[in-house]
Amino acid sequence: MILLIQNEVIKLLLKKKMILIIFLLLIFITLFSYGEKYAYDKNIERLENLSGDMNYDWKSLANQRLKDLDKRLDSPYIPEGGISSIEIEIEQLNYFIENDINPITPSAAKFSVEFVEQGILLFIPLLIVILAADLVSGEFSSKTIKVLLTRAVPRWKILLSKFIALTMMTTILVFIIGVLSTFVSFLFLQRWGLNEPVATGFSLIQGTLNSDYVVLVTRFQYMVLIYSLVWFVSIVLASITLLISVIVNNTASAIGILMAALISGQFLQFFLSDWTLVKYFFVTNLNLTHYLSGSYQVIEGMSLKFSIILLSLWALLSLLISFIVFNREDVLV
Amino acid sequence: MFNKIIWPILSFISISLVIVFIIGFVFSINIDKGNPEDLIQVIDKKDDFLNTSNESNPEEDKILNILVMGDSIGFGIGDETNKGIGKGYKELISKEESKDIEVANISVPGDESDELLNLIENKQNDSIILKADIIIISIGGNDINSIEYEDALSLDVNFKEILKAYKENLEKIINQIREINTEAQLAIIGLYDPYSKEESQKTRLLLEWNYETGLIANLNYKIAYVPTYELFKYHLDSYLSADEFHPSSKGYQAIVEELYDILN
Repeated sequence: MILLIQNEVIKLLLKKKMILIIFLLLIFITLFSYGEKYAYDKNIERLENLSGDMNYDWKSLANQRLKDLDKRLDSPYIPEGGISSIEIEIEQLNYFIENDINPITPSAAKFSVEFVEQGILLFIPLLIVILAADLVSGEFSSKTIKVLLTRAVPRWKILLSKFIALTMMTTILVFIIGVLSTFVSFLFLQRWGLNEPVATGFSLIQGTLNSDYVVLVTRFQYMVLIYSLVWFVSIVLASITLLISVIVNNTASAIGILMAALISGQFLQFFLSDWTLVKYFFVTNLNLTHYLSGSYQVIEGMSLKFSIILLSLWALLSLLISFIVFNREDVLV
Repeated sequence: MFNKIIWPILSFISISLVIVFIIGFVFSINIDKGNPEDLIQVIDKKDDFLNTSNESNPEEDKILNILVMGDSIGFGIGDETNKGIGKGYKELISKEESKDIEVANISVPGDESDELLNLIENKQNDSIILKADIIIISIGGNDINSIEYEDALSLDVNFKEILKAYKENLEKIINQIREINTEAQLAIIGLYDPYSKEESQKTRLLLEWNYETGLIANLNYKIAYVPTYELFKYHLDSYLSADEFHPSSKGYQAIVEELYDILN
């Protein structure tokens, strides 16, 4: 079994897909982090012009806000939930003032999180598809499936080893995304920012954003949390890609089907947000990271748990169907 | 080469990463733990609380309770004598009132209408609202202040949105108070314009705001609207405190007298 997995990993490496993916990542990350730096510089310039001062003074603004918050905290009549969110904002502001960091300054860790938050809907799925789409269909296209199936191992073992190899490579890919986006953006932004406090744990109750359960974590912990969600999404996508790759014996069609699903899923979110059936489509649920940062949900009745359960179901079903199909398929090449 | 170097490295990295990611994944699920059930429990508790405290205490009848809620003006910021609206009104009516008068103030400086709504929806404050005979509300100044620096183009659009949200909040606030206390006399303090410079567009918006507040007040049961715009207009120098935004003690006195004239 381990030999089979080794064999599959070698095949994935020999196709040089990883190199293509890393190349793509480098281009995009360089472009985006340069853009971020540029936008930040412009912004500071604008603020300096606005205040007519050479040194844009964020500290006095932050101090003003801190005084305001303190005053509000003194009032004995604000509800408990309100107190905790005020305390969290005070703690955050204190950190920024003590460390002399302007809260809007971009950092490598912040960029890395933003990059996957934006990329989780289309860019990262695309990379997974590049990696996985020809996993089985490629064997058919190049007719190597005959050699593979004539070995004295059951078919499910072959598919399982392919899936395990794919999981390994996907995991490493997510890690590479994290490392590359952090290091490359550091070259531009010149700040790590791993210790900044981040507020997370927002929840929606009856349509309004509830901050009673908000906790403060460091930016690094937050990064690990976000990347774990990205990893989960990537594994789910890898399973779905495997299914398509098994069913369609043609790599180009496999990529086409998956891209169509991803893109049409985005459109569905825009046009059919009233239609509740949309929330059961896997693409609608990919945006897991938004639940952590407290952004609003697209469709009523979706929560982190709902999305995770739904995505797991999609992944399990895909795997199940791919194993059944692969076991029974007639191979006529 | 592959078997001896790359494969062990790859498998080690991927297995350890999988473990890290699974741990992180479990954490991020747990961090998002806002349970709607908690909120429902709170609502249930509130109902219990109301039922137990609804029987009025005979001793309470000898006291006239005044409750002030809202923003910094309700709180009394700017008043050198520290009386604010609540104590100022108490002084005015104490001459002819035989009952003892108690003033409670649950104002939070800086509050906007949605924050006041949150405050009174909180069960902690139900008892204080329940025993109040007069409730004075000052709210809206911070809502409208958020558009102070908008440019002329976006001003109208934003104003309409803020006004709409404010009206909804104000009606919810009134309904919420009425759910707890059906008989108290309510008074809503209108807005004045602390900026002396003539800007006809913003003045028009402020008057529209006051008009809508007055409508809500007058269309409901036992709610008085206390206009302040006219009071302050020609007395900005003496009625505003040193921060040129909040009323001075003279300004508060003027508001209180207006309130007294309306209620008595």
